[in-house]
Amino acid sequence: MPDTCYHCDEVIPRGFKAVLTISDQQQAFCCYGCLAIAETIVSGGLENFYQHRTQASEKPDPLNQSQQDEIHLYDDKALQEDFVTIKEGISETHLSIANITCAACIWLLEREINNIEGIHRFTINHTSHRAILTWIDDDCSLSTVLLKVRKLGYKARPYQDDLANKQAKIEKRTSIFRIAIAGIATMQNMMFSLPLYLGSANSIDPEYIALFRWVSLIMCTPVVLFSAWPFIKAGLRDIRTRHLTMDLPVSIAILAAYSASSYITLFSSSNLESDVYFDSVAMFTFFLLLGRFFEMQTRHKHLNSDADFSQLLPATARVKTADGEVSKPAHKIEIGDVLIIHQGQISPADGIVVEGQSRFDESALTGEFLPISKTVGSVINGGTANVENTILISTTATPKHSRVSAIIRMLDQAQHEKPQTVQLADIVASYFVAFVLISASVAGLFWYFIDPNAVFSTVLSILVVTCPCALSLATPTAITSVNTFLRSKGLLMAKGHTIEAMNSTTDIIFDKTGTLTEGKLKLSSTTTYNGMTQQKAQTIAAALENHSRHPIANAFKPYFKEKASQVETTLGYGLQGSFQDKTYRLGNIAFALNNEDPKDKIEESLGAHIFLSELSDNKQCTLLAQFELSDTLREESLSCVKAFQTQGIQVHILSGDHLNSVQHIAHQLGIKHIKAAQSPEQKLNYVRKLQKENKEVAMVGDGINDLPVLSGARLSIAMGGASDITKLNSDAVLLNSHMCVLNLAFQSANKARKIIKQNMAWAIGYNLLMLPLAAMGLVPPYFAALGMSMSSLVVVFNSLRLKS
Amino acid sequence: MEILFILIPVSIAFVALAIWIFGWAIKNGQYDDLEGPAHSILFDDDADMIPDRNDKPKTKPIKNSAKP
Repeated sequence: MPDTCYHCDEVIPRGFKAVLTISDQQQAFCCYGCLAIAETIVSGGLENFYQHRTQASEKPDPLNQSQQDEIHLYDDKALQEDFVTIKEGISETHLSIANITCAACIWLLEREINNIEGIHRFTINHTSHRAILTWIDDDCSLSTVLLKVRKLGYKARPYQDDLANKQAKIEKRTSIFRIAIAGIATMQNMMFSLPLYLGSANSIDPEYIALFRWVSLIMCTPVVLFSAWPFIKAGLRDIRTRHLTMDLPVSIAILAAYSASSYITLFSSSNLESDVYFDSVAMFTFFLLLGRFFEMQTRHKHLNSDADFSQLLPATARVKTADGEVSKPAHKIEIGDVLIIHQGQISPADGIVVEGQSRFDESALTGEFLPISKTVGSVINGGTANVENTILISTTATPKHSRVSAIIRMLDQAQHEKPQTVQLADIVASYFVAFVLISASVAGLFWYFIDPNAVFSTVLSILVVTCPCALSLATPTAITSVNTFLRSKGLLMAKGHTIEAMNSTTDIIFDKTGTLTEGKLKLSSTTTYNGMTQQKAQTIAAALENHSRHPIANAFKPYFKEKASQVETTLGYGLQGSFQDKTYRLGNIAFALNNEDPKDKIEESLGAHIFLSELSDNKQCTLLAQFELSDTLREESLSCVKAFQTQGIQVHILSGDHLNSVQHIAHQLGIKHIKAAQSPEQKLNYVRKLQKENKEVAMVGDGINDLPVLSGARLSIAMGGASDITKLNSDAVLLNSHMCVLNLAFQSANKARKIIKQNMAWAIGYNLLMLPLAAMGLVPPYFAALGMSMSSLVVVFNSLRLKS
Repeated sequence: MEILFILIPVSIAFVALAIWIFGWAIKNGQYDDLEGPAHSILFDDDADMIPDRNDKPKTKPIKNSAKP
């Protein structure tokens, strides 16, 4: 039997057994959630999914009752107004779908959803993971679809396009159109310029030369005016800001070649003594645009993961009015509204408790995974989850102005002040560009005194021959191949400067929970008493915990088989309920043994110990089992930290958690620099302080509270489990839980830097060699073009070495 | 060869038409998903037509029939 889950490829907990026969083979699963999904897939006859997929699926997150209720709220017509359009009885909405790992997931979802009665059309975009759903509201409800998607192990949520997404869409469409025009014009121009190149060998009549030139001019004009516009615009910006980039010589070459060729076509006689360069202009623009397009694709990929922070806050709220409980879209909440927050629900806005007593899970904000107690007068932050009892809060800030939103605003500011990574390529390029421009003008001046007729052709040939093609490919090709390599290992590089930043990092900071540790409580050991078996004890505990929203309950989820009945919660102590006709108690030692002196509450210890006992009819408790739960270190954390330390990089821990739990972890990993109980502001200040000491800081984190510090650090890496907004604003995202990939990335970055230097040496060396020859008028155009391509190919092949 | 003076302008008109159609297709959102179509042709919807290992052939057995 394999030791990893057939569905999600995670390690199966020891002693856990759940199997299913798929395509005549027994397959094992890591939890009942994965098993249920596999059963749904197989019963739909879609087991081919497992053959088609190229990556393991995401581990599902079981749906509890209040989440189900929340999904049903989406059927509310008043709420639907915001995101559903109805045309001729057919409703249409856009959904954003999470957890899609490969093309087979999309196939599975499209097949299953389109099979639901009443669904008109359901298609998912492979790039953006956004779906368009049209359905007939009388036959089918939106919640049916959302629940079905959940049942298959994915998450769907209605979304509205925000500004950034709309812009990205327009940008993409425009650049495809630009490429199309440049491409078509290139092909057409080739056709007409070939006779001109070959014309000298075979005599060609002047009127045909004129015809071909005129046609080429017509074809090339939209390329220069429309397709090449981004380069020209950037070139003009370079002049304004006095900062030289590749765009300046590129646009000078395009404009100069175009205007010179147009001048020849319009005014000079139709003979072959002077050349026109329309074909080169179109082709040059086409290839440059293609390169930029691929770069843009990578950039947009990260935008697609939902930028909408409001997903942290629920879309609806329950408001207490004179008529009782009413649901209201969250954006209509006003200050002073009394909100009812039931157990398991997330608070939609900031507020102060006015009635009731409960505990809140603030992990989304602070990373602290044990819930915090709240009584009348306590402050509740929007985005935190109510773990225990229904309470009433009086709103103090609308969702737009809540703490979560404030953190997002802080993020913008931090990003603004982020130390800019000056890329090696940029420095070299600006010197090189200045050099080319100066030498072209010197050569032009020189020829002006010798032969005024040759000035233009010499200057142009210098610009063409020194076309920084290879130079402009030197960095992007190396970075692309190292990115492809690292992506296959599970690290996604989001921003261009990541590789450069890795090379200069002197200090790396980890957030504790969720990075070095798993960030969730896990059952680490089970001790049984009085003849109980481990498996039975776990099943009973899971049955009881299924009724609880406490984070401890999550640790038991993988063991859940069937529900217990008559479960009662005693706040802060434990649960009591009956399972298979016996009454059990689960909680801290005092509660489990019915001791009247409940001194130690569950969360006081570092990890947590909880106890299971059987309650007989005469109120006698018999201890059956003891479970130890702890936030476990990731398997590779130790080797990862050790590797960084041997590389000479200082490792720090900066955490929002209590000092003793941070110390415990730091001791295990041998990390000396630690800061505990830090607020987002303090974390950012810590990084700023290090930066003042001229340290280059890299930060690895996962929570919303890490956002400001992530963007303040020069290099930020988010964990795959982080919220989308965190991932979106990081420079790199680690998609799996293998910390060693980080070490690999730093090594690859070092290699990439070497390759980039080689590439630049080659590209500049070649151009410097050709420059004097071109200035002397010794380089014919066809040789310049050939040499340029060869030089670029050398660079590309050199970069490809990084892929292995 | 004078025909070139007519044919080339005609070809320009065709190119212009092609560009116009291309622009229409882009605006219509047909190029929004550049990855999907490459995958979707591989996921056939003909699973029910491929004989199952346990299924008895409905007509005469075909030798070397495709495996599911």
